[in-house]
This record gives sequence, C-alpha cells and structure tokens, in this order.
Amino acid sequence: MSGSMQQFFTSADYLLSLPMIMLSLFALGILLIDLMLPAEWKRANAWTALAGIVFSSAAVWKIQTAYRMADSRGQAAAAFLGFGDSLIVDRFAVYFFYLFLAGAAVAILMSVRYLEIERVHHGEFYALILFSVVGMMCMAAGYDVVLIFIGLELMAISTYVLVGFLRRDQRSNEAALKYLLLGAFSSGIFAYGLSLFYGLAGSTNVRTIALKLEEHVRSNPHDPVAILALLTTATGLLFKIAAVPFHQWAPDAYEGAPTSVTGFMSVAVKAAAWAMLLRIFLYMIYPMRPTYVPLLVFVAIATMTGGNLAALAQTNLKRLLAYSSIAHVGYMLLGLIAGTASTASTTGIKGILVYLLVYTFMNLGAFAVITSLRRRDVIGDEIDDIAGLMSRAPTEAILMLFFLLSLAGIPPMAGFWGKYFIFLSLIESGHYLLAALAVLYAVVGLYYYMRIASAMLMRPATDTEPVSMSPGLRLALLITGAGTVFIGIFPDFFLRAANWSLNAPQANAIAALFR
Amino acid sequence: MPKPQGQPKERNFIVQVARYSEIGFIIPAAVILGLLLGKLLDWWLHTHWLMIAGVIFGAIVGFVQLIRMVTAASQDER
Repeated sequence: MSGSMQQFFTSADYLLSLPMIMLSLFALGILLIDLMLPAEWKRANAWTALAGIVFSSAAVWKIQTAYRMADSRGQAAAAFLGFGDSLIVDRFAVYFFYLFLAGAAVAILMSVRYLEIERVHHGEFYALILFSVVGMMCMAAGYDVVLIFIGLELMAISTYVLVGFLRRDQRSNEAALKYLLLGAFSSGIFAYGLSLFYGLAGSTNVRTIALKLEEHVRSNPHDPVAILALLTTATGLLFKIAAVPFHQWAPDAYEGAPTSVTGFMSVAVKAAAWAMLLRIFLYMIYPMRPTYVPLLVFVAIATMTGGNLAALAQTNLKRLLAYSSIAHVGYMLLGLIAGTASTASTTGIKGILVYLLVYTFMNLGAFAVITSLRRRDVIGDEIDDIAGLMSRAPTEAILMLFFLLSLAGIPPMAGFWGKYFIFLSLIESGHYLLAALAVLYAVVGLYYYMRIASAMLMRPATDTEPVSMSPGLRLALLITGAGTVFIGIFPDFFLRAANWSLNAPQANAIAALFR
Repeated sequence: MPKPQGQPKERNFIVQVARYSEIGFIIPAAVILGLLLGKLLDWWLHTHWLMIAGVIFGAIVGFVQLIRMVTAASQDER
C-alpha cells in the first residue's frame, strides 16, 4: 500500500490519515458550532469532541483490521506507508493512536465541570485538545523528520494555549509563558539537530537517514558533526519528555495548568513525546547507539534521582505528581537503555509501551480525584486539601489509594507490570547496578505516595464539605479505576497488544539492517 | 569559643539526608534480611520453604516500617 510518488493523493493515503482527518473535522466543527451555542449549552462541545474521538478510533480500528486481514492471508503485512513515504502507520503507531485517544477522552470527561467552575467553558478548549491529538498522531506516525516536527509543533502550540486557558489566573499565565519560552527554545535546538542530520544524509526520510548514517558512522565513527547532531536532537527530545536536566518547565507548567490539562499533558503529551523519541532513537539514529547509550544512562540516573528526591519535599499535589512523573520518565529511560543493548530482545521497549499504557490510566485517575476537590472557592491541590478524604468521599479515597499504589508499582495494580518489564529487561541485558538503583528509587516513590495516602486515610478532614461529582468525572474515575485494577489483574490482553505493536515486520527489517 | 552559626543547619541537613536515604533502603534491606534468615533456618532445619516465608516476612516488615515512617513524618508536618 505504498504511496506512489506520481499520484498526489491515493486512497491509501486517505485511509492512513483518516484518524487525523476525523479529529480535524470535529475540531473545526466545534469551533463553528460554539459560536451559535448559548452559554448553558456549552457542554455539547464536550460531546462533539467525544464523538470525534469515537470516529477517529473507528478509523484506527479500520487500519488495524487491514493488518489483521493481511496476517490472515498469510502475507507479512508490509508497513503501511503514505504520502510519498512520509507517513508510516505501522502497528507501533496504531498502539500509540489508541493511547492518545484514550487519554484525550478521559481528559475531556474530567474537564466539563472544572471549566464550568472556572467560568471558562469555551469550545476552543475541546478543539485544542483534538488538534493536539492530531499533532501527536503525526509525531507517532511520522516517517519524515519534517512531518514529525510539524506534528510536534501542532501538539506543543495547542498545549501552550491549554496551559494558559485560565486567562484570569496568574499561575496559569505564568505556567503558559514558561512552557512556551522553554518549549520554543527546545524545539529550536531539536530542529537544528534535525537539520544537521539532513546535511549528513541529504534526505529528510527517517529510513534514508538511518541508512546513510550507518555508512557514515562506519567510515567516520567520531565525526564531530554527527555527534553534535545527536546531542542537539537528543536534547530536544529529552526536553519534551521532561528528563533531568531538561525538566525545569514541568513542575511549573503542571502546577499552573488547569488540573484536567495537567492530567492530559502528563499522559497523552508525554506518550507522544515518547513515541517520537522511540521512532528517532530506534529507527533513525540507531547506528549511533554506542554514542547515545552512555548519555542515556547518565540522564536516566539523574532523572530518577532528581524526580524522586524533589518529590519528597513537595506539599502541593500537582507539583508532587509532576516530580513523580519525571521519576517515571527515568524508569522508562532504563527500558530504552536495556532495549538498545541488544537487537534480540524487545523486553525493554515492550516495558516502555506497557508503562505508558498503565501510566495513562493511573495518573489520569489521580488527577481526576484532584479535579474533584476543586470548588468555587477552593483550589484543592494541596496535600492538606486531601486530608480526611476517606470520611468525606470514601469511594474517591479508595480509588485514589489504588492509583497511588499503582503509581508506586505495588502488585496487583497495573503499575506493577510497567516496572516489572523494565526491571526484567535490565536484568536480562545485564544492567544489574541500574536495576538495583531503580528498585531503591521505587521505594522512595512508595514513601511519597504513602504520604498522600496517609493524609487521606489517617488525618482528620480540614474541610468538611462533601465532594460533589459530575457524571463526566464519575465516568472518568470509573474508566481509570477499572483500567488500573483490571490491567493489574488480567494483564494478558494488554501485554499481547504491546507485543503485537512491536512484532511489526518493518521494525525487524530495520533492526536487521544494523545487526 | 563561639560555635559557627551554620552548624546546626548543616547537621539538620545531614540528618535529613540520612533520613531520606533510609527510605530507599528500608524495604530491600528487610527483604534481603528475611531471605538470609530464611536460608539460615532452611539450612539448620533441613527445610526448603522457610526462605520464601522469610522473603514475605521481610517484605511485610519493610512495608510496616515504611508506613510508620510516613505516619511519623506527617505528624511532624502538623
């Protein structure tokens, strides 16, 4: 189904871009309909956005079915390439498409009442979420650095606006400005790195760059230009996943942003950044792995240390979860280190995919509980605000406990499987010291999650007013809670999904080039 | 001789570092101790299952100790 260069737009291109077309159409529809809606009908925008997500998911399902049909015919399904080989909707991309859509759907459910309380219930909010998902899809399915970069910017610009959506709130404005400035700076460095790779390879296609780079590295292993290109590209990518020392934007942006947007950023935006990072590290600059693995080891250790130790001292829930999300990035980087250690084992990369999936549910769930604490006069994001939640809202308190245990990686919660595969891959690849360090930090993580749990369960309530829940938020809690417990107890289906996304023949073909 | 002014603060910092670094080690140390004790008992009593019991016991002790630390810390905060 390869896109032909002669024809400008083929039916294959149409199928492959259908999930993005759907989201764009619904986002534009929201912008138009919003103009005509009276203030009390603004909720309709949320339903329109959810409908867009359903249609987009159906389109992704259609692509998935095409793979399944090829499998059942016994053909090794080639990668589905479109738009002159600049778009690759392989199984890896399909997995991430579902992840983005799920994250966006839960974030929309969480937002409805929150935006009403903040009195900023505008249709643009939902349109921006959908546009940022389109950007994420381009990042996950980009096979050309130009498309990857455009996707990144589409996602980033939509998110900058979402972070500053509370226009009258100083914290929100400050967060948006910091995020915008640092984000623009890192995008610049990233684009510089990509331009150097273009200079080295003479192409913007990911596969061509990989092949040219393989030759180049073989003839000139310590070429300063290639190393500079690697360093600048890696800096941009590590900034986007908020790895130490490029993490300074994350706590401020997470604290100031509307809580539902913080949840969305910490799962969907992060997953997109990971999709882009994996695509570039595993597909494009794979020949340079002797150079980048030591760099990743340093960054992973710094990220686990920085994230976990800073989280210990936090009193604000959103800031604490921001630092904890930095620590989780550290664990996932360990998976990448193990995954690039040998081409034979995919456990490390599988660990990252499983981790991102379970993280979507457990972290969004924790943010949904924090969102429920928001009232007209109470911001509700300090640890003191959650004190005594057990007596005010027992269901939310128990769900929060599940999310916290899962974040800490305690079985039988879903978070356990993410950590299990990462640690397993480290042991399989012989990185015993890194595995031991990760275990120590996991216990530190358990400590600060238990601080929240202890405030929730053992301290008396400072605020006795009951927590009122909207139906959307209840549904969001139900989905995330069920996901966290269900994946933990019956992980089989989800592990198979992660395996399916990695067994893509084209991934093996690319790996075979460098064996 | 007057005491240098920075000293109590520094000591406080070292105490905090010691306290926080204890957190990371508490569960692994308890588990390893449980494992070793179990192995020792297995060797002494010619059994095979006490090692597993020791690991489980160590994990429980580690958790209980961690929860005690959390409770103590949250009482300090109040």
